[in-house]
Amino acid sequence: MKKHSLTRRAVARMLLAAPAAALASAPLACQSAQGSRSGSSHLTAAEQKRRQDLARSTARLKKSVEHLDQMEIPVDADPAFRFTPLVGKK
Amino acid sequence: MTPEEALSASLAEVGPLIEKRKLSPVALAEASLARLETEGRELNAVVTVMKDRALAEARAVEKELASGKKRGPLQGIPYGVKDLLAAKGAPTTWGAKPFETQTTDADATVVKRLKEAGAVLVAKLSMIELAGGFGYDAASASATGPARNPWDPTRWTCGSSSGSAAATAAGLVGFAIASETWGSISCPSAFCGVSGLRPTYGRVPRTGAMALSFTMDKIGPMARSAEDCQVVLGAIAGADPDDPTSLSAPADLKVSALPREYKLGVVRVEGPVWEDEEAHLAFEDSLRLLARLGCRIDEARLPDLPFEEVAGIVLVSEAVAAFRPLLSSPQAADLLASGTRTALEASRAISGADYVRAMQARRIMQAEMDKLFDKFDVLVSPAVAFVATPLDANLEQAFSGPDPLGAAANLAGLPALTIPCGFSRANLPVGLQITGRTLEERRVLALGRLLQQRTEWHRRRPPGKPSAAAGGG
Repeated sequence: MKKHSLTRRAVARMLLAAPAAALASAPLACQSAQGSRSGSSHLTAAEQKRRQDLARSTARLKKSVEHLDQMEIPVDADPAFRFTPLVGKK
Repeated sequence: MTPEEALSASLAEVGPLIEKRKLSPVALAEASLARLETEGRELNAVVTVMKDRALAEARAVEKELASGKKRGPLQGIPYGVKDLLAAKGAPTTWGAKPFETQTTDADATVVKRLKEAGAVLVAKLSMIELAGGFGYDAASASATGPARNPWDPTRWTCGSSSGSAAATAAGLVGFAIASETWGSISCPSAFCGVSGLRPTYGRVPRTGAMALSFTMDKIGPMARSAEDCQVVLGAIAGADPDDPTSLSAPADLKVSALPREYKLGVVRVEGPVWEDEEAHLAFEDSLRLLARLGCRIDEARLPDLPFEEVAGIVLVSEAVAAFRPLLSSPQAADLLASGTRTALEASRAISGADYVRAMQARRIMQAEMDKLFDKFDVLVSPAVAFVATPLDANLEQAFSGPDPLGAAANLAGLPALTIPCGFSRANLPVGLQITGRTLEERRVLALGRLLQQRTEWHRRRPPGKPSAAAGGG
């Protein structure tokens, strides 16, 4: 059983703890379903669905960004991040 | 009252019996554990039944009561938590196969606080994989399978807090802890006919909770009534040094003005048509009742801003940031939600600048939403414009309608209470949502209590469950 501390930051650390090299070279989830075939006419049903989903998701997000671009946002508007500079540490 | 009946009763009914030692916390825990193992499994509402821990906690409470130590209305009440909260003694799976054996070395702050209040943790409850943050098109996108609705097992519970809603509705627990990033408390509460409170962002600490969207995640209770939600909120709210986003504002839940004097802004859902006329009438009847009680009701118009688009950009950006290593690892092949297979690639449609601009837009939206509360004490709306969907429904299609208030309120971190307000022709619960200004849980709870004092919808129980009352109204 894998054990880790429970804070949200620790959760992030745990996720980041996966070997970077392994992650970088890891195939995407879809690729295991895709098999060795690469031509679009030979795509599995799962890969076809994934591509459709991807196209839909990407289009939706692009549309969202377009809507955002149409909004008047002052360049100095507070982005509401919670960032506290460290003070008194040298 | 038998322990089985007590599981379907309110805290106000059960608490005094436990305090006077007319109801044993151990017997209550045993009844809960037995039902979780049978009915809970049938409903796919349970991930882990925590028998050893529950019985140890229940025995400790019983001993305390025997020695005269009183901890308040939650003492001896069995409850469950959504399986994105850490608890010693059980895996914390986040509803996902890659985390099926993940364990933690401490309790989440919410679990610690409930233990302090004397509540007895009996189960980790099922959820949509990774809280559904990447999108999903099927109820089966959970490591425990599709959660069945206690009102009709061929229907879904909604998500992502599926098990919390199902277990509460079926009377397997006295109450449950759930979470919402966008809709995950309100929709399951509506589908399952329970009272669910989404607190103000930061009101309840998230230490020990899975991070999906660090600026939108909230933790809140699901229970039998607004009054019960208020009791649980009182126990779990408040600053936590381990969660820098938690608020130090005291959870003052007392109301100064009677809710019947409230000015209510009604937000109607545009787009999707109520598929069930009785469901539509249930909502309108509730408005008429509130008017008869003296509330002033007017139509509220949301500011014309791209709430859903901005919420989508923020959520996708933060969720991909939180889970990027998992999404790009071989373990991603074990994920079930359709969105997890495309999120990483699709998120490239959003630049860093887009995220910053979305957060700037969000600040403007917060201010605009706040102005609405200069005119209205609370906003009232349908929780969702339809009742529980079939278990095999395509959720992309079923939930394709707009949700501007859900997006706006979650972006602004506003509290909302969902309560049942009637039933459809097929005897499925209809949910009404009361949304308030930041930190004004007391107002949404007060209005919910007023409605529940005058109606019996929240006392109805699913077929075959012990019933506190049979009426409607």
